[in-house]
Amino acid sequence: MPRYVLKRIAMMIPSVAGIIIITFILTRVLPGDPALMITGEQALPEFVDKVREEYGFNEPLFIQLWDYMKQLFRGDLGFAWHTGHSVASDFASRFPATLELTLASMAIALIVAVPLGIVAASKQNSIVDHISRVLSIIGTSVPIFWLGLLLITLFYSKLGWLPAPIGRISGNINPPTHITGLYIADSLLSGDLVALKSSLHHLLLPAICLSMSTMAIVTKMIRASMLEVIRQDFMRTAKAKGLSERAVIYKHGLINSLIPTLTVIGLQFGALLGGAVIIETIFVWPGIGSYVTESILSADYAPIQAMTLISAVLYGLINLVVELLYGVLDPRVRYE
Amino acid sequence: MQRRLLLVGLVFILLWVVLALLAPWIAPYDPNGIRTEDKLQSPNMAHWFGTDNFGRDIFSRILYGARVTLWTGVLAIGIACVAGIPLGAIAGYFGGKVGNIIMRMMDTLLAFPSLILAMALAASIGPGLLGALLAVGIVAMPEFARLMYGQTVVIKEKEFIEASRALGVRHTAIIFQHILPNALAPLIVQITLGLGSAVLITSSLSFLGLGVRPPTAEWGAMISYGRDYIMSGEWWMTFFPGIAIATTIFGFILLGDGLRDALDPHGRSPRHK
Repeated sequence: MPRYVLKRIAMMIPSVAGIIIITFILTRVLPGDPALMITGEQALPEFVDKVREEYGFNEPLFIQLWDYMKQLFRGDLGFAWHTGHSVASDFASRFPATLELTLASMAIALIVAVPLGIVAASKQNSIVDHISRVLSIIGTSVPIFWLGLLLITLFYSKLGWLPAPIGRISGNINPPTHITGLYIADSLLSGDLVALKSSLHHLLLPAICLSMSTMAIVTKMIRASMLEVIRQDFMRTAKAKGLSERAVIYKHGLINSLIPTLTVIGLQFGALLGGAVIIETIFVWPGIGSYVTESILSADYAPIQAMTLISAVLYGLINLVVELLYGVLDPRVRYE
Repeated sequence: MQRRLLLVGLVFILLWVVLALLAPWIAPYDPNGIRTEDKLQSPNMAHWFGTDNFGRDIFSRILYGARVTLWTGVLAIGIACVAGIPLGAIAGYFGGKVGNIIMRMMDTLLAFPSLILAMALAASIGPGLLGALLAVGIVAMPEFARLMYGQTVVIKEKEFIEASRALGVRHTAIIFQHILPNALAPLIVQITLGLGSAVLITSSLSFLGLGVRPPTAEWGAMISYGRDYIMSGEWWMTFFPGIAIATTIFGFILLGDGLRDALDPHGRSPRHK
């Protein structure tokens, strides 16, 4: 198994190198002078030349690429001039916010999708089954930026149930003591109930919006794979042995339908990262997603390159973890 | 049931196509006509969907927006097909090192979360409709390459392909006249579903300020304008364009799923069991 993990990580190297090359080429070859982007259109030509020299933009492309690779190898993700900090430090300070949002969305999605998918499959064509289908269609066709704005209109503007959709905690409340960076966890650990209530209120709407498409896809997947499993012989045998309906479904059915579902959940983490960009922008959530939008709007490329690179690496690692979990769920799976 | 869903999808899409085509005749107002005296009106008899902060009629802008959205989707998926299908076919037909390199490149592109890749591309190419549709096209391309690759690998082993080769038919003719027509069914399904994703990604890009430039009427951009008025209760600026986007994507999903079942009766998709 450790050999398999190392082999898989080694296999990620060419793919990561490919990603570095693609993101690099995108920002250097396509129209637009990166030096002008940094200095602004109005800058004096001498100043633009100086910046070009300083950043190495006048070197041949492959030398620039080599320098960029060396820089990445040192762990240097570049400098975000729109914030005035290194990209790595910006990422470190903003990552917990995105992690909290993504984990909360995944949790909401699974809490709804898993039971809904199971009940929909075991009671096919019942009212629950119809609800699950409607939810799947809505979740995949409704744009989350629109859903977010609708929920803000309803719960903040009309009903006034939730606070203004700005940030992770209300402005008049102190954030909890920093332990993990996740406000919910930190306020629980430090017993700060005021901060806990406020951060839960702020987290609720963005997490629900972000969870919608994952919820839809996971419900659909669980329902489909449960239906597949329910028809298998071993399920009939289990029933014939006299096991209760509940035991048959949960002990034999669910575990066998988890492998395809797990693949989908792994893939959904990538979609959540993309969705976070939009949701964080709407809810002024101080995470990596809104940071990327700010970088794009101020034509600051180092953070965008870093985000594409990090999200692709994270995506690869999550898929590796998913593959390793197959072995836990199904002892027949062997890693070679 | 499946046929009914396919029909519902078809009706939604045809409705939007007709509305887009007839926009100049049925739109009651100029979509970009600024009338400050009419600004921020809630839906009423004169302005069915209300007006925006410049007094522009939202109903007329949605009708014209359908043209932009559908065209962008078609062109983006067109780019994806023109680039992805031949790449997948070449990789599948010839295999070897070239095939391997092409498919590894496609896998690399697939490893990006699609919206983040589209944003990075659109930002690199530069904001504007052209940038957005190129970005969406490039993001959708690997799906088509992967699908065509899979189809080609299977079809090229069939006897009629062997017979064509024995007759001395050129490789390009085998690919385009024999393999491509036999791979059309799954490609049509992918095109339909791809159109739905293209509409979603393009409107997301416009919402983030990376798609069309003002004052073009585009649904994602319209929602973005309406965003600043959400807190003060002017819901109609975002509500109606959102319904337009959702019904279009909904139509493409139903149509795609329905076509999958209709074109492939043996391999029914598990999603509708």
